[in-house]
Amino acid sequence: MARFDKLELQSGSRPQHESTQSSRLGREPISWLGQAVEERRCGNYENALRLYSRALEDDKSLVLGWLGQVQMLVVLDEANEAELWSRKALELFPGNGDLLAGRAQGMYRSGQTSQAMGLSDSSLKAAGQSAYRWLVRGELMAATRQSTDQHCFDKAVENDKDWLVPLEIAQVYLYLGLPSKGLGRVRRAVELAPDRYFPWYIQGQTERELGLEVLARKSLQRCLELCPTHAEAEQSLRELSTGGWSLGRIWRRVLGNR
Amino acid sequence: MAQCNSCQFHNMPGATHCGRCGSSLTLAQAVINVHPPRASKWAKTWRKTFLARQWNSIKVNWFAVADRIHLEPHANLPGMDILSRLILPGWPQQVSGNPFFGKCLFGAFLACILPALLLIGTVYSSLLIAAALTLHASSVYDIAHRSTEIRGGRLSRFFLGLGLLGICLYMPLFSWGTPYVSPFVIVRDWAPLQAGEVLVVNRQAYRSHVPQIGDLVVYEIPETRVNRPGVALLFRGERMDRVLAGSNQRVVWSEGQLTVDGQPSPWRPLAPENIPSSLEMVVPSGCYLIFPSTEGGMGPVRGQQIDIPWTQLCMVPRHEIRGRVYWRSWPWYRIGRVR
Repeated sequence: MARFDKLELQSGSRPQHESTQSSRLGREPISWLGQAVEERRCGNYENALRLYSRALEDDKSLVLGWLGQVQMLVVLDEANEAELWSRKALELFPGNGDLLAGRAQGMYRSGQTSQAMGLSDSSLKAAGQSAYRWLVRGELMAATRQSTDQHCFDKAVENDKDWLVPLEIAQVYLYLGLPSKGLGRVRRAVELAPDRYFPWYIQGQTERELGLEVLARKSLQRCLELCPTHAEAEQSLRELSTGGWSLGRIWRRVLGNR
Repeated sequence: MAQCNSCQFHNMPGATHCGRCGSSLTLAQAVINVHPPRASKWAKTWRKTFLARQWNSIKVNWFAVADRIHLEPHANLPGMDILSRLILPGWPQQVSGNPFFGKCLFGAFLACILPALLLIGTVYSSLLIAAALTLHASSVYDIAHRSTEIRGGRLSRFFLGLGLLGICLYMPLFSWGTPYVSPFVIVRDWAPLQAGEVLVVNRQAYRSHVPQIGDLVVYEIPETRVNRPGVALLFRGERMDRVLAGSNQRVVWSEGQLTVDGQPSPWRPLAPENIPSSLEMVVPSGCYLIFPSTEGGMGPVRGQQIDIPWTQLCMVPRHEIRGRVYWRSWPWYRIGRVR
């Protein structure tokens, strides 16, 4: 039957053992990816990064794994490493739009704005569409104070209706020191996933940045109700409750350098 | 068929690389290190504090200032939060998506208002205060402009904001603060003071405290007329000099030396050379001794020595002491505290 091996057959007519084998090989890395995404939704970026690596140990052809690693490195403030890693991933998957966007984000966050802009252009020209490419584009627009950032982020939300997208947009705004722009986005994420604690935590952080302490306290308390062991929320709440009057605090608040 | 994981292209079986994007199709089991490099904690802290973010910020700040000072019509303006922050120019911008513009406004406001306070009472101070108020108005205008697309609405909000600021902030501030920073301009040479000097007086200083010996004060000289043939002197109005003794104290002024209740005093009037060489008096109750040493017309007039009623001129009732001088705001090279 060797001469029939290369025939294109309908998936339903494939031999049973091949289907089982491929699903066994494929399911395991994908489950690692699923766990990584779940950790990411909880804000556990270190764990998510480990799980993405674990998935890639099983199957190095998973673009999502490489991309996830790059994204996690970026959010963990390791932009230089993210840029390096995305370059390596791009050697394996040349011209992949998402990886180009990841590299653009890494480059921007390591201070190379103009190159990042070029890479973002390339990522948008690449085949396919994704929320992440528009998110990176929006970040670059917002960072260079161009008014099209809202449009780019809207495109990102259109591409993916998941609550993680508006949440990550809000995180981008927080990173850029524009919490007022991020507030609407994070509120949208909370509306979409009111039972998840991480959006509440980011909403609390955003409100705290804006000096809306009462609202921030409520958001952080809600986060703690959903996840009583959330150390960062507890710490923020403690700081809000015990932070007394100080000239430095007022100064930081006035100048927005909290 | 082998589907490319990167571009989802369906390649022919047996292909080792994707026909569309060139990705390897045999990557799944390839031997590649899949663990990314990690930054050390120190490196992360260093970069976070000093490098990328700051560099991006500097680049954007210095090379694209105009881009950053943008007017964004659809900013998220959360009502009362913004309204309450109008009290400081730039503060509403900080929380409404334009922090750089906010910092610029606030910095410029400080750059105007701080020198204005140092130079209070001078024309430069007035100009700087006007500039500071203009910046504050600009901040209000920016918020009004971004809050609505309707021109009439913008104008009405702008004037409403200005009115609120005027009524709630500047009117109370000025009415409360003016007595504390009342300028006193020296209009003619009063040795050692010179014409043109501007001193700042706290006119509330003695509302709750009694004048202290040695204080430099502004006071109302007891109205005194001196009529001699061919000469008519009228002492009236505000003067400035030092408090030398209090109620019921016995004062002896002799050859430039002041003795109060038998004890030598460290204090002197501003221009001791204008005081007669010898005086002796007891300060009545409720009065303070202040020599009007900077007063003109104490010397000979038209070659005629005038007999000045010193005892009357020196005894100043407490309620006639109007305020304490504490700051010199002009000339600029002598700006500083006055003692």
